[in-house]
Amino acid sequence: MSGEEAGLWMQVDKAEASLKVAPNIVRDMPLNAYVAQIVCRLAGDYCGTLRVYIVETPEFNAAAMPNGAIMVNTGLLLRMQNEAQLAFVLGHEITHFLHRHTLAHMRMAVRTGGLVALIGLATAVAGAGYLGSAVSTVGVGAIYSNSRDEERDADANGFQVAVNSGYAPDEAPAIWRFMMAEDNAHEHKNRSAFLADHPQSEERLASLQKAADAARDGRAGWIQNEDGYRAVVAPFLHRWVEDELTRGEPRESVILFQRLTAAEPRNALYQYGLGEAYRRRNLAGDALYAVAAYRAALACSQPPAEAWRGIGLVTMKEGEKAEAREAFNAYRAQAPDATDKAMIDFYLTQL
Amino acid sequence: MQLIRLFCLSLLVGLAGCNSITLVEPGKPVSVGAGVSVMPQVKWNQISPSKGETVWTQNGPSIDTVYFLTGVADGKPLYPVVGMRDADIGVFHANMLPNDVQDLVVGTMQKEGFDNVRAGSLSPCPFGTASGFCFDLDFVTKDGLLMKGKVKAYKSSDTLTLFEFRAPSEYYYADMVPIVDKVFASVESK
Repeated sequence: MSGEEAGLWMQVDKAEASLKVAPNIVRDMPLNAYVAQIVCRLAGDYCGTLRVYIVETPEFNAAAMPNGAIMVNTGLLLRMQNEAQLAFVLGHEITHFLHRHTLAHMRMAVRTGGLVALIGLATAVAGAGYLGSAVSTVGVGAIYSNSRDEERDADANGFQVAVNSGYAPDEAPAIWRFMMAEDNAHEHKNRSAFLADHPQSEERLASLQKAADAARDGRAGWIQNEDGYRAVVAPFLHRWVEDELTRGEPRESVILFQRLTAAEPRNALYQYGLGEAYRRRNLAGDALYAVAAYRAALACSQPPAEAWRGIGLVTMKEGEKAEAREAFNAYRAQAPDATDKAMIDFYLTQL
Repeated sequence: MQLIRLFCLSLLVGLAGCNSITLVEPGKPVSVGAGVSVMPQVKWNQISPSKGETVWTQNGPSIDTVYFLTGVADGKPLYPVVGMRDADIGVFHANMLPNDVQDLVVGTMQKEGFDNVRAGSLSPCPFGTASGFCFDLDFVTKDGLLMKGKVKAYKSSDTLTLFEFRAPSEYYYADMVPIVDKVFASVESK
């Protein structure tokens, strides 16, 4: 091993060491164990070489480091509707690791720029914790950007690995369909980190659909495990929904929560998220949609008190004082320790 | 070759002009834009980018910053974000409530590249002689540093004035916030 090659591995390990202590790593044992067991199921004999890090950040993304560290964003977990969908993403990332795609980029970086090209990698990966921020760091983007051929390889092999493990083939193209729908929410925006790294989305969706059609082959008993997946992520949904809303991308959030509420209309947090997304998007007619979604949330079991606040904010702006007053009073009653109670009390004096 | 030299020189001068650093002395009110002034209380380094906002720092902008955003008009972002168009950042609207402004600040910071941006303790508070609002921030930098922030804002019928303080939650925030509170409390508008 050359000195530069040794330095490369040292940088990667340093990056992982920083990742381990990053403040936005989700350390919940059951959640980590659940994702890790899917990784092991897919990776087989390579299970022991892989380590999963769940990063609390709302962007849809996952990434594999050349030393076997796999990062999965909570924004990705929020978007998955069942275990099979997660398995296809993990299969894709495991392929990047096993086929040494990222390693090849790092070697190229060392050859062309020396180890200086890798300085900052540890910070970029561990601090940001996910590909999205890493690609925005000058010089690091090239290391983590896979070529189209590598993406096709990761798609095809990752698909096959997941299907061989019994996961329902149609869930692979389903991911691409809903992510493309989110990305099409506005015409001028930069693509999400995951899709930006994955050009020719339509082509790849078609390839995955073709593969799914062939793999399905009349067989029954494919694994989706929707209930199991929902049970594992349920304790985190409130936080992840709030994280999604902090992105400041309400157009995309509307598309996301429309999909999630369509699949699970009795989920109060998804309905609340949809209401918030409409309120923040604030297009013509969104006030009505927002109130309808908040009311749907309140009709579910264990609704978040913030749904009342949302109704209060929307109706106050619409000049519907009585409704706003009722909603703010309900919020104050149900969330007596809310940190914004002084502001709500002020609004009440204005109504 | 002469033309290239001239171009490089003008580029350097331009860049330097965009980010000039000046010393702000205590003892007298200092204008921070749009007819708004504050009392500095202590010495500050003032960084004045080209886009209008005024930025102060004690220990360098990668440690602590105080942003003075004045006269933010309807349809405009709070401040520019490198590599993003205004339409992608999120913009201020004159009919926004304090909750909406808080959401806008959080969304803009996420787009700056900060993670886990959380706002809390939204409450009414005086802004000079006017009625404004305040809230606190917690967030993480790209390098994994835990940060805290504080925002004080005032919305007129058509514009927003917003002061924002950011510093690492370990040591710097607690050390600096008493002075920053005094600076924010000293605001005067013409």
